[in-house]
Amino acid sequence: MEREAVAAVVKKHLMEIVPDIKEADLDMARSMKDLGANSLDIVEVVSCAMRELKVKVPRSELSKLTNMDGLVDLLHTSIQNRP
Amino acid sequence: MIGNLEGKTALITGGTMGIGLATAVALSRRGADCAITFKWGTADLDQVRTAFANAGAQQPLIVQADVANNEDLTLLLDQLRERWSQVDILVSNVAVALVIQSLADYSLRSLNKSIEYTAWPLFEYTRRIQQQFGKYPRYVIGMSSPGPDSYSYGYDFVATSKAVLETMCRYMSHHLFDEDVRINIIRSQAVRTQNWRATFKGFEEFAKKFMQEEHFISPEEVANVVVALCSGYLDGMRGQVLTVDRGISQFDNLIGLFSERERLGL
Repeated sequence: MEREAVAAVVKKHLMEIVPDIKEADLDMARSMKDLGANSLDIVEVVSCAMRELKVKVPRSELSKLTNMDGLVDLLHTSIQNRP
Repeated sequence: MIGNLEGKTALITGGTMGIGLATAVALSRRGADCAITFKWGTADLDQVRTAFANAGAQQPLIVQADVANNEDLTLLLDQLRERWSQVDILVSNVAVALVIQSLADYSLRSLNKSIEYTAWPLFEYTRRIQQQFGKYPRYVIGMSSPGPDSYSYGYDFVATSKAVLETMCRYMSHHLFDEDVRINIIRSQAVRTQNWRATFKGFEEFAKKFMQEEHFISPEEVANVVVALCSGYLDGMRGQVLTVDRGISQFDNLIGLFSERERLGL
C-alpha cells in the first residue's frame, strides 16, 4: 500500500470523528490536537485507522509522535513490515 | 461449591485487561465458558491466554469487538450463537471517556462518545442478546466507580457516563421486573489498572505519602463480587449499585487525614 493511501485513511477518519475539521485545513505537518482534536478523538482516529489498515502499533511508539505525517509514516512502515 | 458456574456462559466486554480480565478469569476458573471482547490494537492476546493458563482457567473465546460498533456486535453474537444456546452472564465492563483538564475541554461530541462507550452497551448488549437468543442473560453487571458521588481529578465525563450507567441499571431493572434477569452495578474504588494509571498520572506515588497499600482494591476483589452476584445466592438483589472499597470511601477525605495526622507526621 502506498503512503498516500495510508494518509487518505488517516484523513478520512479524522474528518469523520471531528466534523469541524475540513479537508482544506488538513496540513499533515500539524498535530491532530492543533487541528482541534482532543485526546479521545485522537485515540479514536488512530484506532480506526489501525483497524482499517489491519496493523497494530504499540502505544509506546504512538506516544512519540508529534504530527500526522509521523503517524502516517509509522502506519506505513508497520504495513511494510507486516508478517 | 459456592459459585460453581459449570455449564454457564459469560460474555465480558473489555475482558483482555484490568478488571475485565480478572472477572473473566474468575468466572472461567469456576467453570463458566467465557467470551471476552477487545478493541482493535488494545490487547496482547498472548498475555491474556497466559493469564488464563496461569490461573488454571479454561481458555476463553476472544473476539475483536468495539462496544460502540453495531456491526461488531452483530458479528460477535453470530459467533456466540454458533457455540451457545444462551448467554447466562453479561459483564459490561468497558469504559472510555475524555479526561477533562478544564471547562475548555468540554464538548457535547465527546460527552456523547463517553456515554456511548461507557453506559449505552449495558442496554444495547442486553437487548441484542435477548433478540439473538430469545431470552435475557440471567445476570447483567455493569462496572462503575465512585465518580458520580465524589470528586476525582479529570473525571467529569467519566463520572457523568457512570451516573448514566447506574441510572440505566435502575430503570432497566424496573422495565424488566417480570423477566428472569438481574441487573446490578459494581462500583470499585482505586483499582490500579492500566487505564486508572493513565487517568491519574502521578497519584499512585503521591498517595503513598498518606495511604497504605490497603487503600487500593485489587481487580480480583472486584471479580469475586461478580462471581458472588452470579452465584444464585444474591438473586434477590436487582437494580443495585454495590460499592467495593473495603469501606475506604467513608474516610478517604480531609477529616480522615486529620484523624491520622500524627501517624502520617502531618
